[in-house]
Amino acid sequence: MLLLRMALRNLLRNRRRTLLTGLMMAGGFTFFSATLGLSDGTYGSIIDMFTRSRTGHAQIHAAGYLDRPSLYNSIKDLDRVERTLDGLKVVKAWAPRVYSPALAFAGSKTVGAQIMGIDPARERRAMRLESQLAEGSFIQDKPSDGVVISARLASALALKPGDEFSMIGQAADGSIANDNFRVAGVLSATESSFEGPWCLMHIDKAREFLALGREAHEIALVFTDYRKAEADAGLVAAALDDPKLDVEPWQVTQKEFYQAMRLDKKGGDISNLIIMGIVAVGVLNTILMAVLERTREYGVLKALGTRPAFIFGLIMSEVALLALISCAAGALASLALNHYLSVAGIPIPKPVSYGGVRFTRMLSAVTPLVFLRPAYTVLSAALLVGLFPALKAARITPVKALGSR
Amino acid sequence: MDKENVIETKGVTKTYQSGEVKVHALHPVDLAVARGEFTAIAGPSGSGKTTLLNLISGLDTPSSGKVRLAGREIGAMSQSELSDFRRDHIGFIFQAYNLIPVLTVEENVEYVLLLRGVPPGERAERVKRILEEVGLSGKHGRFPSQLSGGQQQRVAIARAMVSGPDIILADEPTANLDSATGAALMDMMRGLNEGRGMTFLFSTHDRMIMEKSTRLIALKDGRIDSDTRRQR
Ligand SMILES: Nc1ncnc2c1ncn2[C@@H]1O[C@H](COP(=O)(O)OP(=O)(O)OP(=O)(O)O)[C@@H](O)[C@H]1O
Ligand SMILES: [Mg+2]
Repeated sequence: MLLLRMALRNLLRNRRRTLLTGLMMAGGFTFFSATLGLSDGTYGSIIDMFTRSRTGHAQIHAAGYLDRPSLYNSIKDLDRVERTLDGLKVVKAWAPRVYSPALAFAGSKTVGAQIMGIDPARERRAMRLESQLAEGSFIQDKPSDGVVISARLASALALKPGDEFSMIGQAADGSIANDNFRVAGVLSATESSFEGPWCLMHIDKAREFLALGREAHEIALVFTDYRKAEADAGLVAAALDDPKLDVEPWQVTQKEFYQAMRLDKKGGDISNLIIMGIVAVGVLNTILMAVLERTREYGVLKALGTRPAFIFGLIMSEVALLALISCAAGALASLALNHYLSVAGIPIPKPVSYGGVRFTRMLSAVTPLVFLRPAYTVLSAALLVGLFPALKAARITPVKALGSR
Repeated sequence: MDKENVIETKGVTKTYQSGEVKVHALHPVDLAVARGEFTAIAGPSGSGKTTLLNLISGLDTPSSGKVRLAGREIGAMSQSELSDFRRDHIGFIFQAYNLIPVLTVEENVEYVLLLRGVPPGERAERVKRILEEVGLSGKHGRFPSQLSGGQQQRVAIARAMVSGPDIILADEPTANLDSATGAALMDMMRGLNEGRGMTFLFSTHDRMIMEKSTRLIALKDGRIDSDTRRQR
């Protein structure tokens, strides 16, 4: 096609200028792509760290439980739910839990505590609970009176591994729950997501204590890909097909955390916008200069009877062609850079650790979006700034243009 | 006026506003050019040759008066109508050749046929024939920068003629060429004019070129000073 041939040859006329502009676009692409990959990767790590420390990627509750937790509002037909979950490919692991408030005593001290009954074997597959332990050992896979308590409860009752204490609560059958427990381990004060006065025990022990049957208040889910948590939660809900059950992704169960992450991401978007702005100004400058230099040619084309739309198309094709080639080059460079960053990463000056996971370097997450978004941005920015010179050239009056030397 | 006139101007004037002063580049000009004429517009620098040609081609609009080309009044046309009209009826030859540098010889000539929507097979055929006629066979794939001035102007002549327009307008087509090359080109144009019956209107201030015309219009200070037809 003549238009493309002319556009391509026009690009080759001033090779240095074209190369420079192309490099700028490709550089902007690569930078954008690398920051996207790094931020996605970092957010991914943080979200993974956060969700796998307790909440999971999604949770199942009896309808309304999340707003008004109650001992009686539990998931009753646990067998059916568990069978459904096992049949879903996207569900990598799941863990049932029961919750109840109680009063804990040790010596002369009394304090309000929060019981969480867990299935240690299942939690091990889904969560990172054991790694949040500061001292002692974790709950045995077989039900026992050994419990793990949070640092706060430990200090409130002055307990350490090996110590005994008792708890009193309200059981589901209306009776008073009352039992003695032994501290197996204490969770970390700084690196644990259990900040309150928590007491973790085997789920069967908790059921026995609270006079619950084979039921649960919560099932934490871990999916194969945290990014698809919302869609996968929908899949689970559809598979369960039970209006008495709520399935909610972490974005809903952990609203505040989710909002904080989103705010943080906006900051990254703004810095990318600035980069793209600089690229756009560079492109505008190049194309404007080219159009100015070729005023006479466009005047000749118009004198010969060329429609303004063709000249407009000619310049837009030039811009599009340059942008496409630059994007292709940028994509190749990004592929290499992102791959490197996903393996080697960038070390963090002050490593942080949370839930027993040490976070020492930012690693890039390479997803199609990491390439598609820069491509989309570079292309649209280039075409947008191309509009002005293209319109300018299309509007050239032949007499004036032919008079220009 | 005669129906066979392909160019007619009636009371055409042009006044340029140059800062504070008004420049009367053309006083009312009445001109009629018959089909097939090979007309030279002569006159000293600043006499209004370029202005008149620009008004006739519709590249510029007159301050007053009317221009009719091939029986149609161009003052009544919209910009896009005018553009299409130029494409279909007028061939241009410029003093500075004005070939498109990124197109080859062949493509420069083919371009006007493309604009007119001539099918590819016919395009190739016509381009080949006209390039032969202007003596550029074998130079099809060259770019303008690889040609001499005379050769470039031959390409421009081929470009102007390939679509078989009613009128060929040329503003000082030989001014950038040495006189021998210029004369040879004029002879070639005259040959094409005779062979194809196309109407030529060109400006020049070269006496030798004027000699080659069948009609000589002399401009002076924006007025027609003399208008003589002659046999050659
Ligand atoms: N764009 C313009 N603005 C103001 N004055 C103009 C403009 N174009 C031409 N003129 C004036 O109009 C008059 C006629 O100019 P024109 O270019 O038609 O002359 P010409 O015969 O073609 O001259 P030359 O032989 O030098 O090409 C001159 O006085 C010129 O200065
Ligand atoms: Mg002139």
